[in-house]
Amino acid sequence: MRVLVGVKRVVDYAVKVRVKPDKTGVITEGVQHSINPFDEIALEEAVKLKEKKAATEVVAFSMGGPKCQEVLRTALAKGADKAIHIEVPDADASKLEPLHVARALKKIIENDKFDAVFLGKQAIDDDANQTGSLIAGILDWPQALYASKVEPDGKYLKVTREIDGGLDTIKVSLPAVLSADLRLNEPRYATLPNIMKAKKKPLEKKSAKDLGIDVTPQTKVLEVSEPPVRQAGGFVDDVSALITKLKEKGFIKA
Amino acid sequence: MATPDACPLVDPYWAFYWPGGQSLTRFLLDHENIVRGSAVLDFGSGCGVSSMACLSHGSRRVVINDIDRNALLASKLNLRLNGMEWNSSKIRYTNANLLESEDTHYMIQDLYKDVPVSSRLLLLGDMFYDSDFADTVFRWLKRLQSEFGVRILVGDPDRHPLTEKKLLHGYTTGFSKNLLASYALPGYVTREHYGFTSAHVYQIEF
Repeated sequence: MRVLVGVKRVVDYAVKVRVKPDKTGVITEGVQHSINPFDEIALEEAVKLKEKKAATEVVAFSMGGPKCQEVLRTALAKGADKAIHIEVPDADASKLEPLHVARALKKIIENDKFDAVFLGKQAIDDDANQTGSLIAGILDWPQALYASKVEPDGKYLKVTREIDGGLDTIKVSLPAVLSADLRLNEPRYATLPNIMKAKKKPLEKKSAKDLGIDVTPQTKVLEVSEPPVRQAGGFVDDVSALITKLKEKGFIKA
Repeated sequence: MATPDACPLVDPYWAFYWPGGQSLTRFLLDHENIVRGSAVLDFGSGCGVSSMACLSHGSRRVVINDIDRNALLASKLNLRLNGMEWNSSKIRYTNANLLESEDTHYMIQDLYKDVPVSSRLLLLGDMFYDSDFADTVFRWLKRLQSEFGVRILVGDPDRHPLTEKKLLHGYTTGFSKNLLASYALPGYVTREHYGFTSAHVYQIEF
C-alpha cells in the first residue's frame, strides 16, 4: 500500500495570531510555522503502517509557497520516504482553497499510483474541514473521516470514527481517503539521526501552473477581525460588598 | 530532552549506530570465515564498529576511513573502550576523501597487497542515503573492484538509493546486488530510525 499524506504549513499552534491592521487576514510574516497538527497525526499513522509492513511507501505532499519545503523536510524526518511540493507563488498561497488542494492531489494520483490518501481532519488555520471529502468525491473513492483507530485488513481499512453519539466502526475498500482525528495517535518527534538522513530524501517540486491546476479563488474574504475583547472586571473588598454589587446589577434578588 | 539544533557538532554521523552498520557488523561477526585473514577498507566508518568486528575476528589489516575527523576520534575511543588497542599495528586511520583524491591510491594498493583476492573486503555501512552521492560511490567502487577484485559488502535498511527502480536504472554504472543476510531491527533501533524494521547485507558486483 502506497500512502499519500497531505501536510499543510500553518502558523504554529502555540503562536498567538494577530489580525493585520487592514483586516484582510492574519499576520504570517516572522511568525513560527509548522505542520498542521492533525496532518502530523495522519503522517504518524502512515509511518506506523509502514513499520507494521502494511504500507510500503509514505509520500508527503504539500501545496503552497516555497517555505512549504520546510514542513516537507520535517515530514521526511518523521518517517516519510519522499515528498512532493506543488508550488504556488507566495502571493497566491494564502488564497488557496481546499478545492485547489483536492485537485492537485488528484493530479498526483493520476500520475502515480496510490492506495490511500491520509489527511488531518482539518487545518488549524482555516478550520475548513473540506479537503478530505472533496478529494474523495473527485476521485470517487470511499472516505473514512475523523479516524481514531485504523486497522489494515488486506484490501480494506477498518476505521473507528469519532462521531457525536460515540464511536462508529466502518470498513472501507482501498483505495480510500482517511482523515485523522486528535486521538488517533501521538506523533513522534523528529530526532537527530532522522533529520540527518532526511536531508537527502527525494523532494520533488512541481508548479501548480505546470500541472494545469487553476487556483483562481472561489471565495472572497470580506473581513478578518479579532474576537471581541473581554471587559475588564473589578475588585470588591469582601463578601458583603460582593453581594451588594450583585444586587445593584440585578444578578441576585434583593 | 535536548533538541537536535542544540547539537554542537555539525552532522555527527559517527554519533549513531546506523541500522545498515548494525546489520553489516552482525554479518561480519557471524562469518568469521570471510573476515579471518582479510584486508579491510571501512569506507565511511562512522563510529568504527564494523572495523572492530573485523579486528576481533582475525582481519590482517584495517583502514578506518571517514572524511569527518571526529568519526576517527570516535572510532579510536570505541576501540579503547572495548580493550582493542593492542590491534593498533594493524589499523590505519585516514580522513582522506578516497572518492576524489587520486594520491590515496597507493594506500589502497598497500592495504590489499599480498592478500588473496577473496580476502579483500570493502565495507559500506548505511552509506546510501543520497542518490547523487550513491552514483559517485558506485563509479568508484567499480574501479576498485576491477583493479583489486574486492568483495564489496553493503549494510543497509533499504533506503531509497538502493531500492528505487527508477534510481537503480539511472546510475551511471550498472551493478547487481545480492542479498546475503537480513536482520530484524530491535525495537529501540526502529524507534531511533523511523520507518525501518529490518536491515540487510548485500554483496555488490559490477
